[in-house]
Amino acid sequence: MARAGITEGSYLSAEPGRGWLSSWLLTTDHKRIGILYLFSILSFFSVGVVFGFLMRLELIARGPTIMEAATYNSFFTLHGVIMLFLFLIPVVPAVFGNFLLPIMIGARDVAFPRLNLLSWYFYMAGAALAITTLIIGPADTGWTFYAPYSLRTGTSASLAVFAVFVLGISSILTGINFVTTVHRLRAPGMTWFRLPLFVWATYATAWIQIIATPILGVNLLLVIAERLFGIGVFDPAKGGDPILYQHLFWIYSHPAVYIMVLPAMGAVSEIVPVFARRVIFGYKAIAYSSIGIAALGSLVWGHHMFVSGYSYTAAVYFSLFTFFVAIPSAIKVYNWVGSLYKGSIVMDTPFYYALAFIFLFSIGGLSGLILGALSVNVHLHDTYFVVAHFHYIKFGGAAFGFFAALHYWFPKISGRMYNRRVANWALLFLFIGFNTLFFPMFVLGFEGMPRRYFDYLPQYADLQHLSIVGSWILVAALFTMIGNLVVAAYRGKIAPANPWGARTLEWQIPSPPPKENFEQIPEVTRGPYDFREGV
Amino acid sequence: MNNRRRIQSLLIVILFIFLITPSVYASGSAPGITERTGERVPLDASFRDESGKSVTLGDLLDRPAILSFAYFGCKDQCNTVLSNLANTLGRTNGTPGKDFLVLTVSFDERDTPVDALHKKRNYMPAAQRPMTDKAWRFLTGDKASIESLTGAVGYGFRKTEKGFDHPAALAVLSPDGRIIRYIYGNSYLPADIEMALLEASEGRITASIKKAVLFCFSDEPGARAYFISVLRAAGVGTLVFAAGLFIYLTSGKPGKKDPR
Repeated sequence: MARAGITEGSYLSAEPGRGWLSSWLLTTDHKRIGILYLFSILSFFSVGVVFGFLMRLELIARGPTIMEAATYNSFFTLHGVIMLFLFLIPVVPAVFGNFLLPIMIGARDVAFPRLNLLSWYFYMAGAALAITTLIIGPADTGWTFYAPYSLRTGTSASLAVFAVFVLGISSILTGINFVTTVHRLRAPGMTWFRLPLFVWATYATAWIQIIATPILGVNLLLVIAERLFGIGVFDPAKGGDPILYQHLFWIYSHPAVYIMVLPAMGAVSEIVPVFARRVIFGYKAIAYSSIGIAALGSLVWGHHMFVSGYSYTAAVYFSLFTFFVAIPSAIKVYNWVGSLYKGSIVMDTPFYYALAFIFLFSIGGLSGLILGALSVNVHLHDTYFVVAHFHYIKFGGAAFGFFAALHYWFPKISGRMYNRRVANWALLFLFIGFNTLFFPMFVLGFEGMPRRYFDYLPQYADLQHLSIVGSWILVAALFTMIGNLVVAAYRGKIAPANPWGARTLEWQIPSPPPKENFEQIPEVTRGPYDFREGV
Repeated sequence: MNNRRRIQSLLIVILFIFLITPSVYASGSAPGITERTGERVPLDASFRDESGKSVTLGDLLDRPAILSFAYFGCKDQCNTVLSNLANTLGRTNGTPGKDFLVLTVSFDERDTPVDALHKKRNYMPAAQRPMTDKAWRFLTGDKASIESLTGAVGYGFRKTEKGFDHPAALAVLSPDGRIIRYIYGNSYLPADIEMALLEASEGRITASIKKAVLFCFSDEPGARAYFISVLRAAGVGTLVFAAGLFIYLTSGKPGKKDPR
């Protein structure tokens, strides 16, 4: 009963003349679409976690234990495809971008609400195709679909590639929608430099989605055309060039890392000033560094290909640009830390999650510099070091950023508070589990353990076991964290409109937000992090 | 309307059939690797060693072996493969010659034992560790022996005007000549070798790991310039669209109208 009470008049209340199911599946409300994304993405995330967990468990003893080598190969393809394309790339922009971006700029919805729903359907169609490949025989190409192996393999690579293509369309449509929304639907007085930093980050991400994703699309269509008609673009046997595939693939897929991380950084940029109770340090620097990351990040793809045998001169430049990307990333980290200086810091759950993000992302970023150096890369290429590095960026960075965002905006989205003590403990174990799982991989990588193997040499056993124990802690903590939020969604205490004392627009309206967000479009007169009294 | 629906569903079915059609490459056309793990290499195939003496694979294989292919006139990838292999051998825990053998077989029947000896003198010292003369053998042979071995291993290569188009990969053999697995690419970690050799000594056949096959090909892909221009057009199209969108959006005035 109390539930009906808090959702009265909000976006969660029933829509007259529509059944419950159609009120969700045919909605054009950006908030409901955000929720659709949240549930679908979290389901795929759990599947990805299961694959990752089983892969780790397989390594508990040498030789085949719970699966054969070929099964292991399919598992890591599926783990990669699901986590990257179904979870990390869409998660923050699709869930929080959809839910919050219009509210944060003072709009009633995104610029193209129907296109927004269509993006979700494209996302689900892509996901359905990806799952179909799982049923009819998973691809064994790894998530990169490297030609020419992907051209030859008998497994359902065409279908898997097409699935990623459809997901790409969804991503481009979301990008166009967000860019247009930010340009056209800002409330009066919401100037570019009064935009919350999350909006800046989502905006920069949207441009990467628009510009980089078509390259992946063309590339994947060429793979399908190759498989069907043997047109010979990538196959050296027909005068094609397999390195071309790698170039086209990484031109998209490196920026895709920023599609994952930038919005998470945006969320952290919201959380830090709110809990430091002061204006964020270097607002413009953070805003521009988002654009800087988007731009520089498009010029570094070659560092994935140092050992592919292309020109050394090119490799030197790619290495150099890789070092440059560290600059805007470091600007963000310094500004977050700088914002804490002389702040009236309030320690609370979202802030703890944000701090975990900053710590883990920094380790991920610094280990990336080690890999970016040409000389070292040759030794560490294809070892566990690389695996550790990108998990620190993608899990420690993007996913922890998502968890932080989830805990920050949960009261707004659901109208209820979660149990903060449980959430804090979950974070502690998440943090311990994550580091126990992935830190040993840095060491294993230095010691020469190659990645992708379903087996290992006896000398690696101890660290492998440590890492497996870490995966158990991590999974238990994930369960606790998500379980806590699920319980809160039903039985949590009613949340006030602005539990954290934030100044951005989404906190100035009731929780959960009304159907059309604002009674009246607000007139914006101050910046997003203005914590002075009486303004 | 109904007809349009029917055409739409037909198109979707056709698309789906296209997508689950096996690749035209699936039959394994040269060059490339068609995996034949678990099968045996021809132990009676006869080759010449660096001294010109005739040997069969059966004579040589008395312990696990790493099998690599090259042609000795190669100016490109074969040298990268061999020097990286030498470098890795230098860092591997097991001792070449004692714990395992390395066999490099030329797939160019015109190569002679003299060429082989030259390569051997070049690459053995590059490992920078003491090795017996028998640890790393460089073999040449006639067309029939070469084809029976490369055929058994599934190593596809093709003669071209300037040399050969061929993949870069190693095969690991058990002492009784079975193919344990392949190691793809032109650079190898010591653990790649150690792990494969451990499996070979246990006779355990496993799936290969790195499927990104590298190729050495002497033809510039100039014949496919057409596709490069397609890509260029697609790229320019994307950028023009993005720039157009940006200009269109910045030329309007935001936030004046409340749609309500």
